Amino acid sequence: MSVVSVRDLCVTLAGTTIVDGVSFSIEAGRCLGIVGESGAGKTVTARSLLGLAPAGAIVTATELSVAGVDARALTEAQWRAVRGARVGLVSQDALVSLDPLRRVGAEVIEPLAIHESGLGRVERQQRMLRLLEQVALPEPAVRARDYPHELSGGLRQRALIASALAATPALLVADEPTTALDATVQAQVIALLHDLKRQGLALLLISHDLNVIRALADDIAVMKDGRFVEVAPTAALLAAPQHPYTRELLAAAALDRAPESAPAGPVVLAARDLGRTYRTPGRFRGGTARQAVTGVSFDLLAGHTLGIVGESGSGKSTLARMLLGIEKPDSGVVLLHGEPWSALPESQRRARRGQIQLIHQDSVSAFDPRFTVLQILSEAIAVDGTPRRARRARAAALLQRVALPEALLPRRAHELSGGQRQRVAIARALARAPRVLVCDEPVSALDVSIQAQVLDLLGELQRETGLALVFISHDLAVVRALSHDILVMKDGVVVEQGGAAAVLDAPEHPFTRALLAAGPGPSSAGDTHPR
Amino acid sequence: MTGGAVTGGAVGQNRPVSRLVGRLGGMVLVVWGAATVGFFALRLIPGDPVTVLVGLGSVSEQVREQIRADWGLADPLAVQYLFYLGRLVRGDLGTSYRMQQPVADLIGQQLAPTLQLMGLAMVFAVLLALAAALFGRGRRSTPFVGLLELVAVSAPTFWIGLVLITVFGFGLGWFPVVASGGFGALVLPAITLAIPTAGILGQVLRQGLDAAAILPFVDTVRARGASHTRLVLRHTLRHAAANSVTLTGYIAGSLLGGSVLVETVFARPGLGRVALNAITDRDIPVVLGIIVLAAVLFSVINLIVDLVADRLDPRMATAEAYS
Repeated sequence: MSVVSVRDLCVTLAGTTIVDGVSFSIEAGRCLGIVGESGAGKTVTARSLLGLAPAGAIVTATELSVAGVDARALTEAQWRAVRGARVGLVSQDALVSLDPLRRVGAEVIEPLAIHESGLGRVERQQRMLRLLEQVALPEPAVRARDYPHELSGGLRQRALIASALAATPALLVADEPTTALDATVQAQVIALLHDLKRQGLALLLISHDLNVIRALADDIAVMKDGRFVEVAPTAALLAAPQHPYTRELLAAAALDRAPESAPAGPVVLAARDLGRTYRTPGRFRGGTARQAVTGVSFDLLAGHTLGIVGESGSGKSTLARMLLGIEKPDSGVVLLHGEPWSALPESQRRARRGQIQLIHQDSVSAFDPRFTVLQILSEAIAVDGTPRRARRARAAALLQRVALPEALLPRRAHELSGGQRQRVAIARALARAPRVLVCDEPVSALDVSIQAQVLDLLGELQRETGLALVFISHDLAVVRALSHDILVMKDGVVVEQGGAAAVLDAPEHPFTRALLAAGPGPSSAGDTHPR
Repeated sequence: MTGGAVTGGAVGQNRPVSRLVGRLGGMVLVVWGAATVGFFALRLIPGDPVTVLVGLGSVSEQVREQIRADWGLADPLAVQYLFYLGRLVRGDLGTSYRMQQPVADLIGQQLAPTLQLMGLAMVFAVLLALAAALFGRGRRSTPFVGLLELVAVSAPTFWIGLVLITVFGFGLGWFPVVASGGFGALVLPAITLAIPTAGILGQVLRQGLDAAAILPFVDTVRARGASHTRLVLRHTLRHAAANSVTLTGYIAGSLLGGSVLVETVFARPGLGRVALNAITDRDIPVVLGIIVLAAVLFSVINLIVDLVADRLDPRMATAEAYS
């Protein structure tokens, strides 16, 4: 007996078809994974099972049976009886998906208050604690009194799952449930979902990340432009993908490549025993000090890439800011071309700033939203005194180097796709003819196939111009694709450092091994469950 | 993020206390600053300080001698200043030589009616604003409520007062027109004072509700089967309130100024009248007293606002650690 059964689901919004004839069913204790890139219609498909399609959308289906209810013509009030009680929703980041102003316990209790109004206060409280125990939240009675921002990302996500399960739904819709999490935490949440599935929950899993999907799903549906282009059992789909788009996704997810070895060049960027301490303000006790970065040293050669890996909060970004001379180290020095860099006063550093440039993770916020691409690039071009009339040609040439058409020049940042924006960010950095490019999570916000293209572009630029890259990411697969040397950080300390092959193939530090094992990466997931 | 949360928990035990101590210290600073500025502004007025302190009208040489003694005018300025601060600390606001009464008494007698007026006006303003925000977000009601708010904000207080008197006082006879001391006499003035405030507050609350309605957690709440009413009352209203509470504090303080007009229009006793008379008569000791009182009032309101804001948004209490 299927928990969900959907036939010919179509969703149109303002004349545009978002979901175009999708059919699937999920049985109790099974998981269907829908994989696809952003804009493919995954989320709208999932939300249709809760009657939460975007306002104004028209949803039609020849069959839409959700936990025994024919949901084709439900009124809003009838849908409310389905939501929470029959279908639960877990979405991306619990920091924003739980009400930030309410205690975790109150959030978990809410579905009980809505659907099981017969329960007394004490019973609700007990049910809530049992739910938090079920999702393995340590010290449930203490944590229940915390606010979402006081919990770590993994614990928060567990609490969100507990709240979705509170009114015992038969189906759980998990929309990118691990996307905001670090690799090791991601593996724990996947394991939790796996347990729930074994206990008989039907699971609809949505992700852009094939590696997450294959760790959980019994069947995979590949979605593109509102349609399922391929649906197959997980093993079959991975072993013998039929549709070209599936093959493209698989290839991108593997990212199983390493950079070509580069000739030894001069040292362009060096760090010597860099350290940085932050003080948390405490008005009457002098505050507490936190070592953000401790004793980092390296040499970066021209044409080489240094990959910096670690989880969020490990000091990667602080290190990047010190390399760029945005933040002053408390100890140690940064040398650029063997000359002092971090020790210079800003007025002397400014003239040489063009030699080291930054690529942000989030290029939307790295651009002035009112600027066109031409203005964005012109601003960087103008720094070296290029006359106004020559700027447009330079800008067009820069776009060409990052494989973008000149036609994008009059567009604004929000009119570009994520991949195009990141290319413009690279073009802007190239305008200053840098010798070093510091890339802080440059592809984390991008879909996998786009990730691969941007990584290829960076690799090409490096080979052509001998650019040195500092490449920061929490994602080992991405770092592996470009790096010649790797530096693994944990809590501000370098726990392992060396050639990429050595670090990745024969990791010495337990943390590096945990990172390698945790990423539901090509080498670990799929055949073995990440537990 | 995770690291910050851990250290936050370790220090968190005495943070509320130290924050409160810090804020009380801030309050003292504000009041001290206001008193100091008032004192030195007084000395910037050209002419004999004695004449300045007397204000309009003349007094006997004996009183002038008394003034010199009260303010220690024979001493150097720094000593006078310390002497003045010392008096303030003891709660002595000086004497109005015009009214021949201690300033503290003069203000004390009129404080209660004004605080009643401000308090009730604040209650009305919040209720009106809530009603406007909660019922003014439908497709048809939004433009209507928006227009009402605009009128409320832009209509002059004295005009609102006159209209209310004409309609509800003379026309319908529901409320007394002049002060009679009862609660009924308080209603029209309080509404007059509340209406412009409610207009601003209603707009801010409504925008806050709209902004909260598109936050990601709203999807989660709806996915639990919550009704629209529950979503607003249990979730988004709190977000909207957390954003408006600072403004509410500012407005509550500014009601002191607004009470001048309202008290005049309704011929009510109160601090507003006292202040107005003191200014027109150049009764400087009373003006100084009111400045200090206003500073105290603003600080107390701000303290309350800060405490309420912390309770509404628990992230505020730990925000300092991240900044």
